[in-house]
Amino acid sequence: MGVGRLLRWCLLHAAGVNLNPRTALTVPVGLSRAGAEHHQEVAMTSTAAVSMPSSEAEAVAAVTEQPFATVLAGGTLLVPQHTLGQVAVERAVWLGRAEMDGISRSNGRMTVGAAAPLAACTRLDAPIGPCAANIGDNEVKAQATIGGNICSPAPYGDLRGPLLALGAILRWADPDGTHTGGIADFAASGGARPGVLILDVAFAVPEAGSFVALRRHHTQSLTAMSVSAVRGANGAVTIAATGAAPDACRLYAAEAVLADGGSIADAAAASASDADPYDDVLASAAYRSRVLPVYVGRALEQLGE
Amino acid sequence: MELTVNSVSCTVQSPPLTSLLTVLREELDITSPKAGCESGGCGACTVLVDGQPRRSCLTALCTLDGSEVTTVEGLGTPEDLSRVQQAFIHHYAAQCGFCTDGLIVAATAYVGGGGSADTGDIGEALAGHYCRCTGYVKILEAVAAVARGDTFDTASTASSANNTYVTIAGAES
Repeated sequence: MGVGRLLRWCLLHAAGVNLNPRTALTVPVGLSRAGAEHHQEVAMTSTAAVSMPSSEAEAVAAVTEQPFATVLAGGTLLVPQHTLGQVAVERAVWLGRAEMDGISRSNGRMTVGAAAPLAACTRLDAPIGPCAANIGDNEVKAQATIGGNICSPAPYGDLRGPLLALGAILRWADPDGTHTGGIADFAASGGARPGVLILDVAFAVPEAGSFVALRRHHTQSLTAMSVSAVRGANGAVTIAATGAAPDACRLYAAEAVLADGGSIADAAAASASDADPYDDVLASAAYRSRVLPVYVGRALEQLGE
Repeated sequence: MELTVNSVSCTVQSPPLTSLLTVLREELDITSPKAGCESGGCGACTVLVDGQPRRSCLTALCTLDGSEVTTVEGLGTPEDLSRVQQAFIHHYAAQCGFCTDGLIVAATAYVGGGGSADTGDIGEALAGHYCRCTGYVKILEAVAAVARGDTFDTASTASSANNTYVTIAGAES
């Protein structure tokens, strides 16, 4: 034990804080970074047990049994939150040995395991590949997973945009069994929470896809806005955006303009009707409103419309 | 939990969700990985896990059983520095030093993997590292020199540095 840690241990002990690893305090939720050093100490005495299943079936059983477990995939959000005392974890299940990271193509459909790292997803065609490449840095991409990204709250979760455009179908398990549905269906079911495990995501390989995003100033930065467009085997174009509304959204009006034979400019202009621009630290609502039609136009030009 | 840290086998007692950064700094007293942003964005805590650069603040201990972890302390000794460490001295790439350990570890993986001397490629590989001194030029030069296969005379560099005096106008009075 280092001097600093010893000193903190003595102070906490003198203050009556229970530092016995078996009976220590549970980590409180929503605490600020101001107490980070103290909560790091709490995290070090966390009693959270971690299961390490070796198959998908074992992972489902481990996550859905009582008390419901928190899923640890890449850990790029959960671990720092746990360190800073911002999340309470009673029990966790690590997917690193569950063989849920496969990527396969069969009968015109691509299936991506929930634990597939973003680095592997960068090798997929647009819009998934370039979107994954636009998340974090090399180290984060090597560790973060597609399932974790889908579950991450906005403004994280960049891949929800391309997956919406692709009409991707998620397969997830909860205590009631295994379910399938789109991104919106998963959110409507309650989304990510202890006891829920995304298994994989599948989509029809499109005829063409495109992805454009506002430039990030640094790999640490989040993407303020992105537009994904897909032309399916039947020739229909689907479009989705992140950053145009508080969560990823389909741009149905722009799609309808194209389906009626309208121009890219008309489709771009129509995109505003599905947007719900908002202010945050990344961009203002006014800026989002100005940028969205520009990026819809670029995505459609890239698609070759 | 069994780990090999800088070629030394360790039995680690921290709970399984503890970050590798906390284990290294608080349990093993290895302080070269720095607790910068503690959310994976600054790169100051980067270490090698089985030869690959990883953010130790994002990595839970339970994911590492049997892994080999290398920090700057395991790359060289004061008497026998690694080539990347020599290059950082020779090119004055270490400024305040806070980001240096993570950069040296990431640069070691980059050149060890056959990375080129192209500064664009180096910038891409090291893109996750913040230097608050904004001294990226010297860092890029140092890594490019290693990738080119340059040799470094750090003894003369250190001697030169020790003999460099900066005079501030009016300071004598």
